[in-house]
Amino acid sequence: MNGQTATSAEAAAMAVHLPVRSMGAKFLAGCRKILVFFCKYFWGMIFCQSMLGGILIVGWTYRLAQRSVLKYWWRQSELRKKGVSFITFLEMSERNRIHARWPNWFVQAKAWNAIQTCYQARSGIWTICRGIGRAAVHSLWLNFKIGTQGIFNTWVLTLPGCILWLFAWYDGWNNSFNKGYEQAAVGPLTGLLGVALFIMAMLYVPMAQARQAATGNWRAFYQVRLVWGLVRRKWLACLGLAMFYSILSIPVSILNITPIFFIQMNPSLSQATDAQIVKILETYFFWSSLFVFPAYVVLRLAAARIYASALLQAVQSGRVTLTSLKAGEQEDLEHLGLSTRREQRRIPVALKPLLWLLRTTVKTATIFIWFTFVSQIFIREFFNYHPQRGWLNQPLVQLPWFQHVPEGLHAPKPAGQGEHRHENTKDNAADKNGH
Amino acid sequence: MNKFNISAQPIDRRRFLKGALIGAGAISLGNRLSLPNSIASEASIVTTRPYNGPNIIIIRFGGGVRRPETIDPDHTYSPFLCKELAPKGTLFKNMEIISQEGIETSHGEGTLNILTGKYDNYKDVGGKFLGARFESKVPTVFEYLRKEYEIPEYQTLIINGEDRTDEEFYTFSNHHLFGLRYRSTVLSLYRFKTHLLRRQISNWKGPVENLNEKKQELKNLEELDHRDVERSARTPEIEAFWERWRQYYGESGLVNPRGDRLLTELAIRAMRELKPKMMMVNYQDSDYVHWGNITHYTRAIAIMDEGLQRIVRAAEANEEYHNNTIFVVVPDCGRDDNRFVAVPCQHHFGSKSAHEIFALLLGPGIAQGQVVDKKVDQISVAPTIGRLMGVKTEFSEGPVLEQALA
Repeated sequence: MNGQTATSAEAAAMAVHLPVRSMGAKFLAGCRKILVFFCKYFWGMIFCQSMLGGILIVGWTYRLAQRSVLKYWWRQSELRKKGVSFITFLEMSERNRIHARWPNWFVQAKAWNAIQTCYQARSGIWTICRGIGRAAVHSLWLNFKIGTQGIFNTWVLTLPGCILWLFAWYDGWNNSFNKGYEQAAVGPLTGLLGVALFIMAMLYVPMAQARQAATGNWRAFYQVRLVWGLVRRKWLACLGLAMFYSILSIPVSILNITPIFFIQMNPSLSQATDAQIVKILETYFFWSSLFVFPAYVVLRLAAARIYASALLQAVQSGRVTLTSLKAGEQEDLEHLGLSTRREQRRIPVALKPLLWLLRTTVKTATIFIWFTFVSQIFIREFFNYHPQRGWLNQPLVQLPWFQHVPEGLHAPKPAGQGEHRHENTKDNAADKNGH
Repeated sequence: MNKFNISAQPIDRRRFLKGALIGAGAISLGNRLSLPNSIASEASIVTTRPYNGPNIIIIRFGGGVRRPETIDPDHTYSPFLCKELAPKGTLFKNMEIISQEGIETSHGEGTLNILTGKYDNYKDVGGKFLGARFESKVPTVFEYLRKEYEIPEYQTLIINGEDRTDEEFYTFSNHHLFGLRYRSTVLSLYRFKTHLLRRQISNWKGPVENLNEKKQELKNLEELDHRDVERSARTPEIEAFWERWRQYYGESGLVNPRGDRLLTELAIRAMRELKPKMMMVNYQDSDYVHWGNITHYTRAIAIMDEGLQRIVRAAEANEEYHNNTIFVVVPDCGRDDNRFVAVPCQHHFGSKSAHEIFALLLGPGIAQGQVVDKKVDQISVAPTIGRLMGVKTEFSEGPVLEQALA
């Protein structure tokens, strides 16, 4: 066992000696938790407004998912039964200590302690400044680093399908010029191929994302045999996860489509200036993130929960050996006493065909559910096309970047042209025509 | 016997009974049904006057365009229309479709507004969702013209696109004084395909199974004509036109131009071979902007502009049309200017911009170099055409565009 990790006995002893907090302190701690929750939520909503912010959310969510995996394992452990709290368990390991609280957006976990440690070490001013700087942005850096690794891996598997959609969309509508003859099938077939690739990727990606998050190692995403083994072990849960994605995608699609109806909802908006429209849309998308941000997070947490359960089962059944896991996972499972092999119930031979049938049905249903998810993307883009990004970025799968202010509104207008292009045209069109 | 060879026989029992039943029904319903009214009118009205007025070519600059990309010189994708043609005629830059409950800003509706001079709350006759199989209650300008003058129906033409078969059947109205007898004729790939199938079936030498497939294919196409009246449009002139088309472009459908370029080609060939007195070219491909890629929309406008240029040049080069042709360029509807979205070009939401169109008239008898700022209506196009051709469009409701008349 790692020297930095306390033993189970030490942990139990620590649990006994933890001070009992008063009601008032508990209340204050509760208030603080609520405040921190809303503060983190607020930043999450802000980060949903840009690509960079989206990357930070990915990183932050992966860290939260890692915590969630640890929490699941702790719940299943003997340690918990012995009265060792989750926090105590985390505090026992230098590596896991960072998860004692929800991940931060900017400052290092326990930043004040870190600064104090620096100061108490009576280091030079430069070291203290460096310590302060590190404490101020450590989480930001972690979120960015983990987020970049996370989105890169997700793109590797999901982007090919999305790129095919983009081409299918372009070429499919070329049929408006070429009609249904020689090349008519190119667009639709490209789109279908994209759909197939995306669905295939999505059978794997949520579990692989969870593994990457749990291990904190980007290479773990590509442990295909291990990850796919976990998916196969949890087909029913994966079906549930796919349904969760598809259901949460409905409000996201509605939020995506709604701006096209703004003028119908309020006809006076047709007279709004570009600047006013930008402001309205920015406000709209900011508040839309009230749903999009937690939807993104909760999907990762659900995947993490499935992953944690699947891996535990796989280890305890002997299907996955501890040595095939990353060091941190080995350590955590051993520390929690979860690495011991348990007797598995044998499935009667007579039931095996039934189970096979059930599994096949669930697999088919999972593919179908992912198809409903993809269909929503197509329906959404038919209603309100978001050039390129509508196909290339799915906010619940890739970056939770949910801000679609039309580029033209930001573009500088040519000299002499007013803000409101349409009105301007009415005034000037034929007058400039030389009549 | 093949149903589609019926025209070779005088009349069969089923058709006779069907016609008789419909006719009796129409009389009992007080002239409320369309087809019998038209049939009734056929028997009672005879026209003899030859037409010596100007030819009219209506360019439906659609389906659905906005002013900025067409008549705004700074943003236009149709430079020929905006910069070359407009100065030669009268541009109504503030033409609109009325904003009124039940009046849709769409292609079928807009086309009928232009053709009839009357707004109406059109409903698909089959009740089909998003269907555009409309039947006008008042006559089209084609009917007015053919009733007044002796013009064969193959000289009153509508050139249609391939994938709007609903618009194949706007050739006549339900009006009891007009209707089928004064109908116009459609030239489209739909018509060519039916011509081709009939030809293939009558000359068939291959296996019977394949013949049955062809027959079924033809049946499917002919069933789109729910009033079962298009067989009467198969005049020798039109059949000969399609035969020449077949000889030139073959039967594969892969040689002839596509989309709106096809419409241009059909129009130019029709001018050469059929010499229509009145022709409407229903461009449509800009409508694909509904579904994304704004460049598809602007490219479609550019293609229409090229087509317009070709047709104008063809008219100038044709003795029949030179100095004797009035062009009317008018969109069927506008498009939204919804700046809340990246592709702001729908037209079903009844936005102000979807009602905003324009009209350009040019040719003999039309004031040149004139821009009219005054708000005018799309339904004024039909009575203006009527005035120019010397027919009274008594059922149209729009005022004549007097400003255009020199």
